[in-house]
Amino acid sequence: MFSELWSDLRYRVRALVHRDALEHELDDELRFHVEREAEKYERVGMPRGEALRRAHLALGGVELTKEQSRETRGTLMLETIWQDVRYAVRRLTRTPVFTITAIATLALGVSGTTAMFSIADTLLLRPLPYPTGDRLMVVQTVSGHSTSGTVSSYPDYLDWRASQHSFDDMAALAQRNFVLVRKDARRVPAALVSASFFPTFGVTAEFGRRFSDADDQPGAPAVMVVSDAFARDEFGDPRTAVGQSVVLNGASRAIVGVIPDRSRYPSSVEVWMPIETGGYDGNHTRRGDRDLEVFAALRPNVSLDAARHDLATIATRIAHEYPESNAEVSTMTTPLRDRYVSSARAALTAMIGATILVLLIACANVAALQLARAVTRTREIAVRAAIGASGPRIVRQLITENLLLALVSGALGAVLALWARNLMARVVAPNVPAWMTFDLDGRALLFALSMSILTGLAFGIVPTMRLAGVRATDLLRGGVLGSSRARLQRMLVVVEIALSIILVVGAALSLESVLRMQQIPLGLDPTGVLAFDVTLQGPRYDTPAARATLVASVVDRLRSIDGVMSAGATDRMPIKGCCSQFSARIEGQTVASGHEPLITGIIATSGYFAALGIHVVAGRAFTDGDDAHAPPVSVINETFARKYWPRGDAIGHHVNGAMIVGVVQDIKQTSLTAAPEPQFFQPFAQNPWTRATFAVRVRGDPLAVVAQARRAVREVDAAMPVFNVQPLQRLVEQSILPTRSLGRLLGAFGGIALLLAATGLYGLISFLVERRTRELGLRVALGAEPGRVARLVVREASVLAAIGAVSGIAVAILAARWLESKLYGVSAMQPAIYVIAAGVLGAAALAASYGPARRASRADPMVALRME
Amino acid sequence: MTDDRLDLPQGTLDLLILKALSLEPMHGWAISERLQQVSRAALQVPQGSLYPALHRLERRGWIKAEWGASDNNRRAKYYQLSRTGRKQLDAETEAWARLTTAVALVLDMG
Repeated sequence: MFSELWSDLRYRVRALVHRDALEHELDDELRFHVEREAEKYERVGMPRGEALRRAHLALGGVELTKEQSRETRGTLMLETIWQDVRYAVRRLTRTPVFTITAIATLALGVSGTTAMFSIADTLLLRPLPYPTGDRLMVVQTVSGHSTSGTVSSYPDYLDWRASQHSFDDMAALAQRNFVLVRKDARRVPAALVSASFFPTFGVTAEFGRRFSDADDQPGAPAVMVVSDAFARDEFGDPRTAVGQSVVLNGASRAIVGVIPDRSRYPSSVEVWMPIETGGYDGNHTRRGDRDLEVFAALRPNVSLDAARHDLATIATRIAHEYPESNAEVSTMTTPLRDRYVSSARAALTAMIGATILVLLIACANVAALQLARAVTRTREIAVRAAIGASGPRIVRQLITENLLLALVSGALGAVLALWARNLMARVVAPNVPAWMTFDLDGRALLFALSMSILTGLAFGIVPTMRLAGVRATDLLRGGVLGSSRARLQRMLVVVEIALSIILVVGAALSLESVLRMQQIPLGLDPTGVLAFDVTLQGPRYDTPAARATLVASVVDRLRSIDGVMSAGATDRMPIKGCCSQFSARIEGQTVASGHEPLITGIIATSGYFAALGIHVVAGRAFTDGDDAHAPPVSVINETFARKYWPRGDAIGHHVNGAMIVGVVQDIKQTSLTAAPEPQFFQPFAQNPWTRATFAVRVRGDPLAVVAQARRAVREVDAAMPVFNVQPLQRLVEQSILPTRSLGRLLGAFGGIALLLAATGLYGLISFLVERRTRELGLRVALGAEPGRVARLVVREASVLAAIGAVSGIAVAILAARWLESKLYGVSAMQPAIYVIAAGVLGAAALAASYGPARRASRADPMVALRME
Repeated sequence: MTDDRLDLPQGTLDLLILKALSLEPMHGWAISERLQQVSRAALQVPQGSLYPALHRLERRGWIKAEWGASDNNRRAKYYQLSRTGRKQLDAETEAWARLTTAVALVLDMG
């Protein structure tokens, strides 16, 4: 049985590879047979001619025998396909303009969807680089009626972990910057973690070990786990790193383990150390101090809902036990994957929609082109039918042609997608970790392949059905086409126009949103401001006084740089994000303990408001005199002042015991688009934080003083790394960037869509004009002015464009409604957007019909009449 | 043209070819001649289906083909039985014998 299969396969392969040799052999074999047979007849006295005739007759026809022999080779199917393919290639190369247009169009369509597929696949489906993967949850604290979660306190975390029954384990993490001094001072992004951290993520050490519970005890020896990249950078070989010690923040710390780079969490962190020995600056015992991120690995057989319920019960119990800090605190549990997906979801949906629209338009366009081409092909098909090609064979031939077109486009599309995916990923998911790469893997290529076959069938089916219906008799009628064909073409062009207007409207909305974002009043002036960060940790800066002194000395030195107008420092730059939330006791407000409003608190030095151009509305800004020895003071923003002192008498009152000395205008703190919230400022010297961001206002280019600013820091502390050096203006631009990129990409897609629709319209109008050459010629002959004839053609195009635009706008309004909720400051109900889109489309339609209209108006009656 | 020669029952041509080749390697024309002679011209071997049958058997690996010189020194394609072909011949001969016996029994039942 096996040998038979093997022989069969060998024979078929030989039949395929040595097709010509086999044909020769068959010829020779049959010729030999006929010869011998004829000789037999000749021997009994038959004349040679007659003998040969008899011999052929006995064989039953040489050609038939050959055909039957060929069939037994078992390669007939493949051979016909090969024939069809060669025929298709000949046909396609004979009409290069059509072929190139079709391939380019479809490749664009396939590349967009393939790139989006690989992005969506990575974001939504590809496993996270942590063994506990999709069981990893983020547990957050929710205060009051807020819908978003924030960081949690250490005692809360400990209670959750001790009481829960839904998770394999829970872990806590706080991100910090550490200073490493080896060759020179360098900032090292670090994480303080509980001993349960690596087990929760399922991450194992590639060398050495993870943390034990004993490592995370007060007074335990200082140890840490480092990333493979850190070990490689510092020691050359990660294997030799275990057991070595490095000085971090001025204290020696032993490396006990190395973990693979891919499994880092957070992905930017290089070293991890236990919370208890890592110099955790948060409060271990106060439930009101919240700055830990909490993670949990769901037990395999526990549902997320059950886990949420479990934690809610615990939170309620804690709220009863500790009402002053936890009365209104509940928890929120979400999958870790949502971190990557949630910020990308809107852009992802928009881009998937846009790429599918472009693909649909591409299909409609190629179908319309195919239909127009069908006119010239009617004759060819009729001839083939007349000389005996069977109906199924013709259909198969046409399908082969379309599939070939689709596959070539698909291959080209996959190559284009290689380039497009990074461009699109920048829009959809600008802040993803390094491990999240958007590869074109097997799945994406399979997707591209199925997409091309699908499109090949989609755009090929209608023209194929039309052409397969062509009968030999049509040849006699001169291959005249029914009007129904043009109707179908018209429909396709209308669909193209309608789809493209959706994209144009989407692009217009995003670009408008960019304009609106650029006009947002920031409450400050970012031009000419240089910002940079330092971290104030380690034994040198253990005391608040040391931190206050360092910041004050650096600010002093910055002020003395040539060209610097003012300088100051804060713990959080505006726009970049927000800050610590403090429960505020506000003088004159009586609220129950535990129900105080949460106010965002910022720490700022003297000169900070001036450096950022924040206008002081009433009272004064901080001065150098507001130091640790002076009475505590505060500055609040306008929103804060309006809310609690609507009569404008905020100054002189107290917040958390600090007297309000000034009111400043509202600034954009959390993000560019967030509404202002009550905010209060404390002097840096009265609450020196462990990190500082300096702001320097310069005459001219802020980057011109970078070297001097670095020197200013070095003069105060040579071992202090300076990082995140950038003009403040860049922060503003970075906030606008995702929307700007989305607008650009949608704009590009809209442009492609318009171009395709215009090509489709041009093709259709040219086709119609050609068909009406005779009629138009007659009109000219009968005295119609050329202008009138041209208008006739333009009117035809305008009607189609108008129908497409109206139906497109109806759908575009729905799309805009959705986009409106995702974009800043735009409304779906703006006639202007639709008028602009319709105008752009109208111009494209006019441009597309200009050529054909000119040709029509020059229709020569003689040429028209001679055509028949 | 009246003809009292028998048409070959389906599938028997393969068996006859294998049998003919079991004696000696032969080319196509010789096989068709041999079959007619041996059956005393009672069997109508359609020459047209002979070659497809030969190629089918070759594909299955039951016969092997090679080019050689014929008796009057012309190139001809000679077929010969392979080992599996010989086994197949035995099996099919036995099956044929069983079939004819069975059919004869049924026809004899009076």
